[in-house]
Amino acid sequence: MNLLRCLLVILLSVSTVSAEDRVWSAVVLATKKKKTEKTTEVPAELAPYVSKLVKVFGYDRFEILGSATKSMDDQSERWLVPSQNFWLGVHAKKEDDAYNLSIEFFHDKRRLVEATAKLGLNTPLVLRGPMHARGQLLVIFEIKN
Amino acid sequence: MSNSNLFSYEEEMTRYVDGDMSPEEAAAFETKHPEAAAQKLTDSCIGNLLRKHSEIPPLQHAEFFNHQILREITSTSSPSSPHYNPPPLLRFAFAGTACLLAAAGIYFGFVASQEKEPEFAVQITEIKAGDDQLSVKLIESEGLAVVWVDGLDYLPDTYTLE
Repeated sequence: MNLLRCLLVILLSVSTVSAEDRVWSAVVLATKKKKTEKTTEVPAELAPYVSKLVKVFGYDRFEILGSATKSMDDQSERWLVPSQNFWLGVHAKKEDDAYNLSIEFFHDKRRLVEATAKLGLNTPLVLRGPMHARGQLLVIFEIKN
Repeated sequence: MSNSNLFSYEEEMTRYVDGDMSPEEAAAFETKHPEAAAQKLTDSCIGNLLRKHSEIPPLQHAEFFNHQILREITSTSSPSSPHYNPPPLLRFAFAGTACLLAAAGIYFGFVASQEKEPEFAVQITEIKAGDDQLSVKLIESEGLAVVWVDGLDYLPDTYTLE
């Protein structure tokens, strides 16, 4: 009886981990701080890799303009609309601890990029979008658990 | 006189002087070699005189020699001196601890470091631009995968970001 309970707990926990995976996308405005400007807080979602963003793009302030999150099921297609201007189409298939993705980035009605990739959990894929008068636009895609 | 006779004489002389000959042999030897009897008598007289009148010279610096002897004994006997032999259970515990430490070192040196690597693992298998006016390239820098799109229009301040 106890063995059966243990098996049930294990099965439930496994299915819970798989169901907890979710895709997250955000449109980020990257700018440079003015010298007189006070230090602004880094958005929590970007905190794990903000130092890398600073080194790669040369900006030191990152503002999330919009974000979207959806749960990720195996072999599912999802549309993410982090802002009115940018959205993504994602088809994902889980393989071990990573996802095989087919992903498309759109800006308004224009398709910018189409890519197939293998992405691990909590691993960002960053798209360098267009330059805006206020700063550099980035679209970040990530699978979280 | 041949060599064998000489050696024979020396051997006999030695036995005679040492007193190893029987009385008959000694008498025959003295008859044959009277000079040997005189020599033995002279030697025994000299030996007795020396033993009687010579004194053993006193040992100078006895402490120095004692110290040297003790030091020699110590240095000779130290390698074979018994050392501490821990009980088997303690040795087993020590070996177990050493194995655990080695395993922990291997884990944190290899396995743990490898587990951290996929944190920023992205493998792009195919990438292409949405249209002919755009060009894309993949940049992997600082452990970050960036899809770099060139050819995009500049967005003026009038373009509302929502």
